[in-house]
Amino acid sequence: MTSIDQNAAEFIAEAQEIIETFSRTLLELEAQSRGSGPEPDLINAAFRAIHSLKGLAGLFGAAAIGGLAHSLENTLDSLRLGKLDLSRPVLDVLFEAIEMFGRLLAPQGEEGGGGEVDIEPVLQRLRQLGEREAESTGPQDSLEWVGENILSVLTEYEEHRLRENIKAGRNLYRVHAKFDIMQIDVGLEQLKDKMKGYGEVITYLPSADGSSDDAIELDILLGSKGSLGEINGALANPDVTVHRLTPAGDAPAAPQPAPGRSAPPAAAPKPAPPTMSEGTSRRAEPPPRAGSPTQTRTVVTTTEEPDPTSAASSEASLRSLSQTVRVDLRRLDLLMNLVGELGLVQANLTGVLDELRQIDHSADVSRELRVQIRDMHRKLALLQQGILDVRMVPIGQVFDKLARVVRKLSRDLDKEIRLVISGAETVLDKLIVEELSDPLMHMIRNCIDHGIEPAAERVALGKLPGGKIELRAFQKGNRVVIEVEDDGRGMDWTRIRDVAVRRNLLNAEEAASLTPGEAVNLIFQPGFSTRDSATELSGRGVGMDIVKTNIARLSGMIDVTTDLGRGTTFSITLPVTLAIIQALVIQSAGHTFCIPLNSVLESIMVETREIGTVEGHEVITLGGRTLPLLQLSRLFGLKPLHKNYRDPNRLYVVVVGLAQHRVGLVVDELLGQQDVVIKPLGSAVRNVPGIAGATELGANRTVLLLDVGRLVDEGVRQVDAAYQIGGGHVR
Amino acid sequence: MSGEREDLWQALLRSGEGVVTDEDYEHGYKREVRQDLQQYVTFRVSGEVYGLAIHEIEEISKVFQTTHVPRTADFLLGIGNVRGRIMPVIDLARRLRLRLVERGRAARVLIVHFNDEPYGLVVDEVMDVIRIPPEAMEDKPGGFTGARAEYIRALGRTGKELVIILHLPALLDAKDFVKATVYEEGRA
Repeated sequence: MTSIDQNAAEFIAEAQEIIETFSRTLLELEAQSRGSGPEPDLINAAFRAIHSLKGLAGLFGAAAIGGLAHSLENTLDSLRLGKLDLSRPVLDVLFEAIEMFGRLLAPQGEEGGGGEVDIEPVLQRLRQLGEREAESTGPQDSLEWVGENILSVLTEYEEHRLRENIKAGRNLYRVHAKFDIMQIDVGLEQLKDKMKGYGEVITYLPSADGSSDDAIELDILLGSKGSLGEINGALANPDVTVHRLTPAGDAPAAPQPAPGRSAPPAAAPKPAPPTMSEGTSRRAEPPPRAGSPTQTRTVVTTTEEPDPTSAASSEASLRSLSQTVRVDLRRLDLLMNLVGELGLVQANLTGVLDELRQIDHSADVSRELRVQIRDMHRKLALLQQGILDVRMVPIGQVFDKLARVVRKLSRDLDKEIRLVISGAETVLDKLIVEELSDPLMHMIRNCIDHGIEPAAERVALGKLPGGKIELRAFQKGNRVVIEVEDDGRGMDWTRIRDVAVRRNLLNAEEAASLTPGEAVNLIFQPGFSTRDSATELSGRGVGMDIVKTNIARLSGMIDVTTDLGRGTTFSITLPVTLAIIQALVIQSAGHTFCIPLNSVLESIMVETREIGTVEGHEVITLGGRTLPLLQLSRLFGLKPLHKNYRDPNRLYVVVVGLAQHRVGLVVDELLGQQDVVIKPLGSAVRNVPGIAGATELGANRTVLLLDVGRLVDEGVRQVDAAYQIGGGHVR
Repeated sequence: MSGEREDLWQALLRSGEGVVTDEDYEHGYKREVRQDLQQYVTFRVSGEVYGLAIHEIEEISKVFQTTHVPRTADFLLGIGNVRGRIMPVIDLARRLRLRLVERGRAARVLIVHFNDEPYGLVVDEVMDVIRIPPEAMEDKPGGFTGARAEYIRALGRTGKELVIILHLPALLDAKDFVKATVYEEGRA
């Protein structure tokens, strides 16, 4: 049973990887189709991706996915054979198919998941594309001048590329190369790389000549704009000869043996381009074959170091994907646990060392032991870091998905939107990246829906007709910041304030003292975002409280700044990993708990006489604001051991807060700060409100980690309720 | 054949997930005569004998320290940590609503695996590993209608003894763990 589950998981993971690659390729192709025209290699990559998906689906008996992949494969085949142009409608269907795959792969029972996805509409549209293609194929030129011996072995695709090259007015060369049999892979790759700078490699053919035992000779068909002299100069190599093929018909039937470095023959004037019977070429010149996906996309990369993959072709980057090993996160957790335990062993060893030191005559031994323990400590730290690093994935995975959303929404709403992505290579814990996609999707949706004005309105305001959304990610210390910025209409803080007052989120007094910044942050309040307020406020703030909650669950914080008429920027700050966090260790009623340090604002000592009450709830005034106090022991129903405070008139209060809400947690003791490894609670205990996880402090002690967001919400709700009953005055 | 007893640890080792000894390689698969004999670990809780299929049990441990988790049902002793793995630890006597008896030195924690997660079940004493042929199992026991019936999967008979085989999915139902009255607390 588990092996089936495992197989399914394996299949889903692999299929998703393929679809992500496919999606990335499509986005690149789309960018190219707007600019210089699609690159044949990319179409090929897309074709290959879907082809392997089809194979995979067949292997696992996933009929719907297989069927869709099969239809897609046909369409992509037509695309690469030039029977079909990469037009917007075609791209639309292809993107639709990606969404469809996503839904087909979604686990059963989840929203939008399950086996009841109807792929028929997409199949239908793919078939329609196929019909259209039948009309667009026209009569073909004769290619006899290339030589029968070559023509007869070309595949349909290669022949298509050959025609495209001729259409584009390129010269055709036959490059004859001889490779040592032991080094053909290296040699061929080098030659290919060199030639790629000059044009397109259409095919490799085994040479007609009888090769010797220790050498292999190949004929390579190259389409290039360069002259014979240029090509010869570029490929300078005694084992390579270049011949030009012209429609004049002097295709050599048998190439001469390689005569050393062949100088450009004098009889090679700048040749006239081959005649083109179809008149104008439909296609623009393929762009120069430069580099990695990140360069060809409309992506601004902020790294200063050159991307190591940028020199490789897109084919190479595809290959590197398959070199990765998929590892279940749970296995990494296991390794992490082991490292944690080794840490405890090390602590014990240190204890032994201390004992040894008491004994005089073993001074040498204990010194040696100390050196060894210190060394072990360093290695352990490295090991821990290493495992953490393995969990890291580039946030680009999510950005790619968002690019699809932007594309779809901008089409649906008929707004032209440019998505500028930077920092896609910033790495975050895999868990965080997964959890981020929904909140980010929501924010992007808001941007397009309500932030970016319609083109006409933008022009009237003196803006460019097309809107711009920037997605930025960068590392800042041990945190990662993600920013979503639009150049839309921004938010009016006075209107937000007024709506908040009307919704009883704050009273008139509070509203009067509100700063613009505070007012804008009101959109994160639950209850602010209801539909009618959304329309009043040009729709901004739909479900932002949910976004905030999701981010808070990742120990992150969200902030917003807005410039009326100029745009809005949301900024999310996240820890790089959830696996290790800094925590404040506290004690309440004899129980020890950890509080994530990133949600602790300050820890203060409060005298009991400073405490007031609002409808029976304890509050203090801190920095001019009312701060509800929560007795942790009461909240958790813990029996106080006995009143053993050092001073009964003083309380320890940990001021915690996420975004706008703050409460003071009353605790008995502050035990200090510590880096802790967070371990998930099982499904049985996971849903206990107020508890976020567990961790291990020394001596095998398990300690609970508080869910601050939840506790703050509970505290604020109590006090809010009290305000509404009692009129909200602090006595 | 029924009532065939074996050393507990040997049996655990042999059937244990992924634990293969040298002996296994040598004698391989010839050891079992009847393949359909299910093995059960029996244990005592408040004087009654219960059993769990051996493949559900991953390990038997001495009672270890647990950390109390607020806002949870009373049968949850807390969470414990066994070699870095955090697991809920359940007092079976309370879970089965049995009369509580003082636990002695024989008390053990059965570490079981359910839905890919470990759970600890505290029992008064671990007794044996027994084999029960399917025909000696009584499914859906008619006599049991009380509150405990849902936790019982079957009754097994080995000679003169009767073993109550527990039903883990009911026993470890996540929704029972959180105290229902959580929201009322802290407001008083």
